[in-house]
Amino acid sequence: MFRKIQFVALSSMAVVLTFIANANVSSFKAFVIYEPEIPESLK
Amino acid sequence: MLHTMAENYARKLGDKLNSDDKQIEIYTYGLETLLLTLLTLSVVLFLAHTLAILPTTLLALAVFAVFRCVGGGAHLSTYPRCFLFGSCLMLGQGFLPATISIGLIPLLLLFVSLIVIAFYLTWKRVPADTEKRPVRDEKIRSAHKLYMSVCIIIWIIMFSMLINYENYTLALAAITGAISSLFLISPWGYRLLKAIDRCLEKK
Repeated sequence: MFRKIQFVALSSMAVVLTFIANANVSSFKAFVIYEPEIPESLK
Repeated sequence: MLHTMAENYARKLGDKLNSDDKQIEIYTYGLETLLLTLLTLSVVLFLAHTLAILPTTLLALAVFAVFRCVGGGAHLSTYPRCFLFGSCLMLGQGFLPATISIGLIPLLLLFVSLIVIAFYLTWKRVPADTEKRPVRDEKIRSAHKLYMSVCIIIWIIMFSMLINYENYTLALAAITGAISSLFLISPWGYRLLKAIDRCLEKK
């Protein structure tokens, strides 16, 4: 049961992080005046 | 440091989910962006609250963020520099309107000249891209110009409403937010940040 919940939580986190990464590549940074290295797969 | 931390967490997440290296790179980039934004914003908002300049800072930040998100602008080469410069800039945007009182005529003069500058910079420089992420596609460039123009029109309406309600402090905050984002779009902004980078690299 706990493993199932953990897997769902981690998967949701991965989805959120992928969404943030993709959204950041297609628009400019709003609050940060620094551009982290963009991964090759997102270029 | 933040990159290493993001990389470690992303690797742990990737191990649990059996993700490949490419996917882990994407998690790292997403997590790093999220951490950078959260850290900068929480420090700025905490200091703004402590200095009792939260309303002006929030409004200036909203204008700054929208203009920067659509129009782009200069970047510094490392996060510590960005954190220091960005925090001072964001707090300054809120501090100035909260401490300075300005009459209607100078405010309107400032506003009108800023409208001209904003449209000129939109036509000439938006999207203000960087070497790390150049925007070459003409269609995307035109779309950014259009979105920026729409944002400027919304900003004009918002400013007019604030003037109508005689809230000159918040009206000035809307102006300081626009000035700082437009400055970072302009060639002077790029020159200043380059100079800061060059100065700090020598030390």
